[in-house]
Amino acid sequence: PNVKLVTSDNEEFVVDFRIAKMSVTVSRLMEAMNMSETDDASLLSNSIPLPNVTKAVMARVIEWCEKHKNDEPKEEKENDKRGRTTHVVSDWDKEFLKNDEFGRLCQLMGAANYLEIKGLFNDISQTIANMIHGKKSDEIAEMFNIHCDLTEAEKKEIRKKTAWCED
Amino acid sequence: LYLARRRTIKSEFLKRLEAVKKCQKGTNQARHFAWVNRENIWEKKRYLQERVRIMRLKDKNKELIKFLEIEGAFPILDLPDELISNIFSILPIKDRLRARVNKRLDEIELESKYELGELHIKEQSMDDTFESTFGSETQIIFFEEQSYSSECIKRIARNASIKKFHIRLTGSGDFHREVYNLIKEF
Repeated sequence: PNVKLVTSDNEEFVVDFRIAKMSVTVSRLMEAMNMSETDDASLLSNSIPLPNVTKAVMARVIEWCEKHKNDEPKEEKENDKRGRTTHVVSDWDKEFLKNDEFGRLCQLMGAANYLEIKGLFNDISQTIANMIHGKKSDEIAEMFNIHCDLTEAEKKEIRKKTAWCED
Repeated sequence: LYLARRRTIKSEFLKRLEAVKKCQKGTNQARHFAWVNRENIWEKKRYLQERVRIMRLKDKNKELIKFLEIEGAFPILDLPDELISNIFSILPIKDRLRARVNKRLDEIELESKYELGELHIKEQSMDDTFESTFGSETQIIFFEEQSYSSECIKRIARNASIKKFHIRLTGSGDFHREVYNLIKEF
């Protein structure tokens, strides 16, 4: 059975019921609209509006979902040995996200958050975290094109207060 | 002389007219080909001009080039606070404190949760070649020779949920006293 999803720019995506279900937001909406897997009529007559997602982003999200539809719902490891909650980005996902420009990655993250697709959201968060990892303050600012609105004195203050993390 | 000039102009004109007629007589395909060719030449010219422009910029103004390259930068500040906060939470402590590069990020960092399984705070001499068994992600090492502010520990104490906490400090200076007081806040 298929479900119709309509993006903000009025593009219609017809996806498998199981794929639509991967988004908590969509599955909640379907429940609210009394759409069920066995009731074809309800699926045909209704479409799900997603006003926060654009066509281009939706296509990427569906691509990701297609790949991961057979994944078993894995328990996120609470804490690994190093103590942080880490999320391991699979090789396929790395390749998948590598091609995205920075801006697109940002939009994807917003979409994954809105659609509540946890796996994709964690993938992107971890990818961004990996980009920051090991870089100096200046490099981070440059990478993200962040205009530094701190005064020299404030910068010095921060640097002094956290001297051990600057090396 | 006048007549001679007229004659050359006339012959020139006739030549052109013939060329145009030839072109018109030619099949559509040929004309299409000519058009594509012209388009290609234009493309090439534009490409070359662009390259020359960039090369000139490179010589004259390196900062501008930098800007051109950065245009594709990550608009991380477009994200809502809670998503940025999420990224902070999964960053190692050092990277996280280093990433406070403007006021908004600084504030978000202050409110973001630290989820740490273990945290080790220790003090050692700079000469010690200490082989650490833990990743640098969960370790804070203070060197005895240097002075520090307890600010970063204060920050961590605010939002941390830590399962195992290990601290080994031996001094009795102001810094140490501050840290000892902060332990209560974890």
